[in-house]
Amino acid sequence: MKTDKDKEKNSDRLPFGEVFSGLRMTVHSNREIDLEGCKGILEYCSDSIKVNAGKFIIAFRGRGMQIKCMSESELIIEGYILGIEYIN
Amino acid sequence: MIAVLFLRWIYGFFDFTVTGKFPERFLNLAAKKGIRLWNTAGSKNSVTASANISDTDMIQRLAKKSGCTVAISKHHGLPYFCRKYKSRSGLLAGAVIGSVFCVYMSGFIWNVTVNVPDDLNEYEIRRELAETGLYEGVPYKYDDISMTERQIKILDQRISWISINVAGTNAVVEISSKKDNSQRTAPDVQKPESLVNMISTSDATVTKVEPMGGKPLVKVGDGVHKGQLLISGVIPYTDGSSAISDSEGKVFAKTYKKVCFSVPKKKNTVIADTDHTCYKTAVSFFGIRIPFSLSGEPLSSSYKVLKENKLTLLQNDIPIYVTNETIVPYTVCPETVSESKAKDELKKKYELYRMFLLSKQDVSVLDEKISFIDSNDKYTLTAIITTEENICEKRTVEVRRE
Repeated sequence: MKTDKDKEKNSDRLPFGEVFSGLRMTVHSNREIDLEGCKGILEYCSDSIKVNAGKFIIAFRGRGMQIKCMSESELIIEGYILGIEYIN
Repeated sequence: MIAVLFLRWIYGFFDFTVTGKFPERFLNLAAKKGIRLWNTAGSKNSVTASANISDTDMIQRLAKKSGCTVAISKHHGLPYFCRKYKSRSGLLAGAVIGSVFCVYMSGFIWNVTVNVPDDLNEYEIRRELAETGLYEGVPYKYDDISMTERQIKILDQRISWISINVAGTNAVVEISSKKDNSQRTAPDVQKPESLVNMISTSDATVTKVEPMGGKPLVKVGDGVHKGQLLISGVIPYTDGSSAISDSEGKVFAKTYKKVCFSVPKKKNTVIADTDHTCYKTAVSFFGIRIPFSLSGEPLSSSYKVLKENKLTLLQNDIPIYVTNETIVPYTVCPETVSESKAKDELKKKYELYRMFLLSKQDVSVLDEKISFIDSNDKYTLTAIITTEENICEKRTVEVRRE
């Protein structure tokens, strides 16, 4: 049985979901955001997208925002991003 | 990305709008079920997106589950396109016939390109190829092409090598002639066991000897005949031994040349009747000729000028020829040549010959006697030209030592 410490050591070689249970967010300038480990969409309109991240909610504000593609735990958001807000 | 768009179009997709109190729930459920959505755009209480046709039922079920309604706005792709034109069977028939026609026609040779060396005539080669079974419009068979290659080599002895490459509907014929091959000689290697002699090219009287190698065997005033040894490559020594050396030099001599030119007193002149020139146009396709003019050929003697243009489509030759034929009637008129006209013509011929003679190196004209004879049926110009020229010619002799 692998402990959390072992998993952290091998984090480079393992998929993100295997290592951490939280959310990983990759921001490409102010145009695109990749989210891994999200639990679902809570709000979706062109100027605001709210995503359930488990222990908190994360809100993206901007213009012309849309979900490029989505799966059960992954999401790619596209548009002019103006702000990112964590809501507990 | 283009491949993805094409596949989506092939399988078919639709745009839809999900409206309800909480459309985000629909998106979450769709993501959980693995339904692919694209072009999503959210607004208050509604989400628009696109999805594959195969997911239609699932989308409607999920929308119902999430308390929303689905409205399909537009259909795209091949299945919808086919459904749209289902009643127009002519279109389908045309597509099928077109496809079959393309497949069937691709089994023929549409274009024959012949690359021939300078000493062979392309028209003759094309005619021989047609005789052996390769021409535009013939059905393509690999075995026939191999047979054609063999047959054409037997038919035309001038050909040393032939290759016919068929790429699609184009046949490219590469030919090498025997003469072409014979010109490819081995590099000239200086054979040590040979000597060069200088011999006479014509009967003459020697006027000047300029040896630069070897031993001269003639002196000024000697009369020589054609083929006589002038400068020898064998140099004898006083002790009886001899050495071999390449002879070199010039021997100038006085030569006499007699040339005759003649013009017949009566000759036929062809007069073209350009006022009654007849033009004909025709289109040829795979050996079928369709004329596009109603004018007949003249009853009198005539000559034809044939101009054939091949049509091209997007820089590719297509086997459709447009042939323009110009038929010019002519009459043959017997003409008596006057003495002055004959003299002018003969002088021109002689001048041309003289220019050609003087264009050679080391030739000068010393004297020329021209006489004009009027016989029964022709006028003759006879010229006796005395020249001084270099009469030496190199002749290599192989020497075998024992």
